[in-house]
Amino acid sequence: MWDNSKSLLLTTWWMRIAMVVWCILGIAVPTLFFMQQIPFDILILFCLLFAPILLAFYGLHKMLSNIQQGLIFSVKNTASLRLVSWACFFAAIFLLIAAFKWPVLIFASGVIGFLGLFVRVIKNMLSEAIAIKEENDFTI
Amino acid sequence: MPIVVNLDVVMAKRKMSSGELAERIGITPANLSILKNNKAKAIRFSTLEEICRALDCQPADILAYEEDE
Repeated sequence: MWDNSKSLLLTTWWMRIAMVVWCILGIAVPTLFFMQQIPFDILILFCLLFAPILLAFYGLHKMLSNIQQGLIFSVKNTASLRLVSWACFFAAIFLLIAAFKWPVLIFASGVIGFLGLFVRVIKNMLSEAIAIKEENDFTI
Repeated sequence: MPIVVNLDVVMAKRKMSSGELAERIGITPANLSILKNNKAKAIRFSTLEEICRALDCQPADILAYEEDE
């Protein structure tokens, strides 16, 4: 029977697979550049995107491990969401700059920027929820 | 918080222990400790009613307003 813990496990594994794929790309893209298979500007764009995306993965993975430990209404999750949203904003800015060379990237920039905004709204909602829960816990 | 709970003062006057009061008003000793140590964010009227009944006092004997420094 499908339940919350199995869903959480599936999400964790998807996250791990995505992180591993991103790390493999982190090795593959510079290698392809040195083999003269990809141009220098793509390498630069990839290097600029690598850190924010990896940070976003780290934040999401940390949040998932907090959920597994039963830490739902925790400031640690707020901090993770803040990290993810800033990572998305930085990635969106880098893609926006790259859109001057490859105009199609403006759509990717828009999507990632919107995602950053969405995560930020969720972070603000979680902060309020934590405050409400704290008040409720300390109401005798 | 400028609202201070003077529960320990009233309890001392009535010579009542925390465990006994917690049992009488039907809350856990941990929650009573939160209340006594001014860590509580709010107090239900039903809890206040039980405290007043158990200690034979008025809400003003338990709660006080003190300006923050």
